[in-house]
Amino acid sequence: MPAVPLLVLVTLPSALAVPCLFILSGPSAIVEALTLPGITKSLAVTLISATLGTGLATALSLALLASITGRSSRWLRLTMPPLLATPHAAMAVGLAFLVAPSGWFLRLISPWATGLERPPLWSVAQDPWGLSLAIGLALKELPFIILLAISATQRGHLEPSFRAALSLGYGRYTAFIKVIAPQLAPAMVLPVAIAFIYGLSAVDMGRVLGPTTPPPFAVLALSKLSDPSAQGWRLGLALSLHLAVITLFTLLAFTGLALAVRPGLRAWASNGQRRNVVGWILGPLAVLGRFAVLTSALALAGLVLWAFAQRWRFPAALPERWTGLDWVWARGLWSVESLNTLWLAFASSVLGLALALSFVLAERQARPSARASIGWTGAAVLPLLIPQMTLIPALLLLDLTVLGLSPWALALWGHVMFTAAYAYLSLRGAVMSLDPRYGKAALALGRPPWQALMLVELPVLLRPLMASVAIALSVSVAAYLPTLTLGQGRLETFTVEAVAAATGGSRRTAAQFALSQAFWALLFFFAALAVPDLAHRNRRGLAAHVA
Amino acid sequence: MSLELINLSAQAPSQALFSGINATIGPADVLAVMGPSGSGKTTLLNLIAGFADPPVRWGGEVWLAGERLCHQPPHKRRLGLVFQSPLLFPHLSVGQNLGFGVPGNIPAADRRARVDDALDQAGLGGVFDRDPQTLSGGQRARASLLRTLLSEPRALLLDEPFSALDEATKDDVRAFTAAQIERYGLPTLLVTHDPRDAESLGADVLHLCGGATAKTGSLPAPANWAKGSNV
Repeated sequence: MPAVPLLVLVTLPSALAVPCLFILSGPSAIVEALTLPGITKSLAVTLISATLGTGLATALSLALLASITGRSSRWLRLTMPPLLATPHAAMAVGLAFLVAPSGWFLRLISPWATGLERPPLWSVAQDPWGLSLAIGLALKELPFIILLAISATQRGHLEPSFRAALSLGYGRYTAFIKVIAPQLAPAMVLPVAIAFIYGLSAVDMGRVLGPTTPPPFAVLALSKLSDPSAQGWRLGLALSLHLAVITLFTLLAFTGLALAVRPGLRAWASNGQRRNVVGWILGPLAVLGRFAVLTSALALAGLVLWAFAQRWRFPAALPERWTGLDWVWARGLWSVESLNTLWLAFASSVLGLALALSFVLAERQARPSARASIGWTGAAVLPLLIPQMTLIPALLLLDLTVLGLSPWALALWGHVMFTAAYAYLSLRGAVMSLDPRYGKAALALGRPPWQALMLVELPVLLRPLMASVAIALSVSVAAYLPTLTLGQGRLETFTVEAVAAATGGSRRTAAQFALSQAFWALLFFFAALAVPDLAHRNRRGLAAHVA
Repeated sequence: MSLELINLSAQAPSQALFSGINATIGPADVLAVMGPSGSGKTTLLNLIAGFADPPVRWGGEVWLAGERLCHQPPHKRRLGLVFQSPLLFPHLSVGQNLGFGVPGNIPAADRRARVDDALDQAGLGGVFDRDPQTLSGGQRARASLLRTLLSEPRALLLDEPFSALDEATKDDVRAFTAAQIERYGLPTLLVTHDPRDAESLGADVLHLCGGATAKTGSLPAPANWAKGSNV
């Protein structure tokens, strides 16, 4: 029974998305969508940016992880959470400011190194092949992938294997790639797939960093969905449907490729060679990974500068005049955007966590086999396995044709689908690995099951629970497409306004909204993480009992 | 008050764990369940405590003080279960852990007095507010047993309660446990690998032999008590 709410509110609408779009777009629109001008290039840009972005994020994550395995890695553990909490839109706006012809990178080395007194005419952001979009996606997905990889490494107790390989004469990077990476792989498939699928339908980053003629596939679909004509609307639905099909076939192709190379990789891993090219590549990649982390930090720092810059001519490295602080209150703290962002974040996080927790407790009780647990996980994270650009229009259609919810309720529902899925992802490991004897001990002491749960198990799980809340809050603050589409233009949040200002060319306004968005996301994130520290100070045993 | 086991049997999907267990454990009596790993010792204990999980199928009956327990949920059986590790709840202080065991209908002031008395009598005075993690292994084992005793159980089920302790501490905790069993007059079932545990509590022994009908008997001669050996 406890699994039903999530199945009804999250899994079922996700499962209905593709059939719903197929029926309502109609055969003619499905065919016509394939003949739209620039469709092939749009598709190529999308595949390139998503594949390159996810591939780069994965490679950099592995290289960074290889460089820290067996060592203290405080800097990585300190920098990754805030970067994870930084919304996609804020990162995109910050990165665009960094790499633009008049951006901070070029300012820092001009004119003394470049001789430039005026911004050059080349275009870095919004390049025609989506390379800057790929870099933006890589920077944003890096913390997501690396934190899940670190978590998988700790749960799998892989360090002894690593030390054994080192003692057999393998270098750090070769030992990692031959011994640790194959053991990590099963745990990494899902996060990497989620990052890739997100990349295929990233509208917020696509609008800020992607090309405009033609735009990435998801941006093109969204622009058609905004078309007032019925045919334009159906074309948008058809493009959303095509995106789901493209995602499916791309994932199948990658799966086939992985299966094809797996025997060769296994043979390579056991060929006894201590020195090889992968080992040589991972070292420089780890350096590049550190540079990527620095770039993300600079993007956020640049955001702060642009938000407060009143006058900032090229090539000055810092603004010449600063704005007052009045916008901080009027735009960042007490505005329609902040109120909408806050209530959506809190409501969707609480609901999402409740759904995820009841679902994972039901899963624990059912004690599924390894094969069946794939089904449980698949059901909970289905919204992340379908492109947002497919799921969100389908939800809107469902509402317009059957449900008739208000835009506010519908947007909340859309947010909950994602907060529940991410909360499940972050919570599952801890709940499943919690020592079941705690509950048994409470029951044996005469406490009924609900007290065993509320007074013992959930308090012991407070840290992972609050980590889930932190992630859910960040997810909601960052959610662009659900807010824009399901809110039907009536919900002004930071993420919506930041992207609108960035695409409209208003650099300062975009920076102010993006900074406000990042501020709230980071505040929520760290406040949620601080709760267990305050509640459980002087309780050393908690860390040992919860994975 | 006696704990009666009548024709208990358990069947795992691939093998019979045990069958035909009949025993009556009187007040302050101890029955030690011994046998090789996988013979079903902990399963027997879980079955009595109400934690028999699928896929194990079981049969037979458990009676306590004339009351049939088989279909009662674990929290209504009032059987004190002590695990191999102390399992003090890590989010609570030592005193709060013990307070967790005191029945809910006791007024707050009395709860605190009961916990303080128990801690004092166990030589644990002054640790009420301590983090359980800061106690020694022996202190934790005693606190865990106290928490169980404060819940006013009608019988004790001990699942290898001394195996995680070092040799020097084991004797102390064994003596403490024996004294508490005697003091409260609790019928006790002890699962253990170590004949010294059974001997220190003056236990009768039930041998589980892996699928065969269980046999009651006596301890082997001390010369055969190889450390860590299975009986």
